[in-house]
Amino acid sequence: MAVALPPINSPNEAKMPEWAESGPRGPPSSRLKPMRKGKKKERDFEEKRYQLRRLQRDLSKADTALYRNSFKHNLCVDMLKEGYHLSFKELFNLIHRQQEEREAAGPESLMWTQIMLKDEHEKLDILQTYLTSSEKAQRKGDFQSVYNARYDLACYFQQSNDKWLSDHFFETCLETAASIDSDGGKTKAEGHCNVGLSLEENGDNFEAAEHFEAYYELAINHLQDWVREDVVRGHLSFFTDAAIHLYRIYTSIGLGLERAKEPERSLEYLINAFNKAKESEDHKLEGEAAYRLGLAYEASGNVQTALLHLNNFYEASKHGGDKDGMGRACDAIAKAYARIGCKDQSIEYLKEFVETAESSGMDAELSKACHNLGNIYNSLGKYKEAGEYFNRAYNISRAMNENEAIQVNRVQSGIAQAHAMLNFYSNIVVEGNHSRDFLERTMDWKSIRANIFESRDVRMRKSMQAEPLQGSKEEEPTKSAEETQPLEEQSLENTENGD
Amino acid sequence: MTLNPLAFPKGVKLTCELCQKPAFLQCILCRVTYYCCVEHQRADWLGIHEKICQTLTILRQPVPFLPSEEERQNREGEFLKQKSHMIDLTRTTGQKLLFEGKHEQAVPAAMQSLRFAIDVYGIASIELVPSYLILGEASIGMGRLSQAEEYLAQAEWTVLKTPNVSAAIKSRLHRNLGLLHAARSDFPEALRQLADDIYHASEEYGPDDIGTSGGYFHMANVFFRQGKRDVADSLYRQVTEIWHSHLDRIVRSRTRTPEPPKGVGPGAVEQEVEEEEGLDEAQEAEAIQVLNSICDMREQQPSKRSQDLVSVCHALAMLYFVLHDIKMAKEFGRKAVVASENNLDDDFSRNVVEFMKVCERVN
Repeated sequence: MAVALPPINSPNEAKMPEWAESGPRGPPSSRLKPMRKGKKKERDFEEKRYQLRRLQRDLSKADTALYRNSFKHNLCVDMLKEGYHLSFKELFNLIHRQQEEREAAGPESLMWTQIMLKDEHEKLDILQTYLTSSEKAQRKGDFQSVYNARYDLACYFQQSNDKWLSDHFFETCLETAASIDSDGGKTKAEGHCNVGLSLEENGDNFEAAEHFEAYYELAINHLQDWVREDVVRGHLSFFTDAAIHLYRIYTSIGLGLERAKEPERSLEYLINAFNKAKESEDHKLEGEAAYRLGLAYEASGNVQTALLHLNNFYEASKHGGDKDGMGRACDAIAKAYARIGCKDQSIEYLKEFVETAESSGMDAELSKACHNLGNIYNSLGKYKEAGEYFNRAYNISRAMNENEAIQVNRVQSGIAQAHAMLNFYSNIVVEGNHSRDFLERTMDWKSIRANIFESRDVRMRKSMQAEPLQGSKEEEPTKSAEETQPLEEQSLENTENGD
Repeated sequence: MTLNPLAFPKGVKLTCELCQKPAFLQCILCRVTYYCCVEHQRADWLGIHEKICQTLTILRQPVPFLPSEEERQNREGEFLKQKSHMIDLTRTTGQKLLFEGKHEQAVPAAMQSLRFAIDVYGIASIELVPSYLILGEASIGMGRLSQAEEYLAQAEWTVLKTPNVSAAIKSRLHRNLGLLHAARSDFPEALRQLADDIYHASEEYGPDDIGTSGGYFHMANVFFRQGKRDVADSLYRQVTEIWHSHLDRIVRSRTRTPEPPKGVGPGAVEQEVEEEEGLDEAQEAEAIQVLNSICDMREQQPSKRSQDLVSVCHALAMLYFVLHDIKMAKEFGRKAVVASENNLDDDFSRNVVEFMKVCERVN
């Protein structure tokens, strides 16, 4: 046994020719090379590795499978071997649905770069936990727990921005809720509400409206006892909640239809929205609904009804101290009046609009109000006031640095001032036939292009003062005229060129 | 019939088709198959030989010399095609016999398929695995567990060494391993293997396909034996649902009144002829076995949910309808109607009643 044989086919030996004599075969001597090659260090290393390997336990098949297979595979097998086959089916279908969607979207879509569900281990773990607990409850017939588990999942995915997953779980929540009959449909109502919200987010307004209607129908019988805690509104009965949701969805459907040029159907939905807003007993919402309805009526030509609703809105905003609302109400009412030709009322409301806007410091509104007022005065032939308001609008928009508004107002202001000057100018031209003085003055004006008629021609000025258009504000026009001297020139040029 | 070995050239050893021992009997129909004793001949005849006798004559006869290279190649190709067909045929037969519970009879078919597969694909090919699996399953059925393990280990090794094995084969391998462990009462391991089976089958066919239902069924059996009735119940329900919807689809496609062709001309005549879904022999046998055993179990169970009984009866009725056994179909249909009278799930019972009407019409 102790005989250590020389290595067979070692490289040295292989070089020797076949016929060469091998060395004498004697007893083993110390000169023979040891069988195991390598330095001591390597041998120690080998030895150590062997010892370490011996310390580890042998791997079972399950362990090797854990190592060999994908995370998803192991997760599925884990669920299945406990018998949770429904959870497995659901998860499997979800993963595959996402993959199919991705394939359908193609490699150039946004979906191609996003992380797939099967690679998000944390989410998969959460899915497994909740799905299995839900299935366990389902086996026992405890549907409330099933609902809760699914609801939790939906909320989790809502927070992590996985819209399609939260949608899916809200839907299954609703399905589960159908089998809960112990609470008189409260869970079902909640389910409808959630599905409605998720559909609304997706833009499926009509389907969302159906779910909200179902929610409303269920809630209508439990006005008092179904209450949920809301972050914004505190205690909130389901009924009110449903009404608010319905108001919102109807409004957006109505506005969408309006854009799609279907005014009749749009009006129908807006009326529905108004009714629901009324039922919600939230005055602000009611006002808003009235405002929209008023605008729609106005657009359809039914100005009297429009005025009715707009006045409602006006009152509501005034009552609630809502300056913005009041402003919008005034604006809309003024427009409506202008449409039926009641310019006086229109001016009145517009002035109120200006005041509210001024007092609440809303520059954009103020500029708009001034502009509208200017327009009306312009159409009434009160060019002085018109110019004044346009100037104001111009200044405000210049302060706000809104390019478009600046251009519009500057042109309008110019037009108004030109209109104001037209009378004098034509008089001068007519009289210029008789007197050389007038002709010269016209030439003067041509060269400096300032409003020189008023200052020099006293007669004319007197006749102007006799007109009622001048109004009460005496000092402002001169001030604004000085301020806007350069503007005036520009705008006059504009108008001339335009003519 | 005795056989004179002297009539053959020297060096040709005749061995039994089944056990490879020296043979003394010859099949008088094909004259190319030999047996050591009458029992083996009978077993082979019942198992597979009846179906392949004539083809074997062609395949095993000494080939005449063909002078042209082209002709020789043609003959090669022809042989290959026939052998591949033989593989399919023998496997399906074996599988069917397995589902019918005739494990002994399945062995010859499986052996034959293995032989053909080796002939065509070589000794270490993945194509051999299905044959090993059938052999393994047959051995499990006969209670020869160590032999079964041998076959399955061979299959597992081949699968492990071959990259990109299709999920279908993996699924069947794990199913058989699961059955083996279940037969040894090693339930946790059996469940793990069956879970793997369901996973792979779902990858291949989808979780709601009849290809996956077998895994669910065996898993349900394991849970049932473990005493976890609720889990088993839920799994049995799943199996029933899968078969129910599958059979429902077939029945609907068969009983649908063909639409009158629209328009005139060649376009109308060349309307698409829809592929009619059917069941192959193995699937038929599987359906009969699975659904009948579920039905028996449901009938013995104190009726917790009569809905389950109704759906399994309806599925069976549809199955027999598909197999053109109208008498049985009616019987199960009646059972379903009786069971559905207790609870009135309208949609479902209406379905059953409608189906009964269809049966009447066919008769």
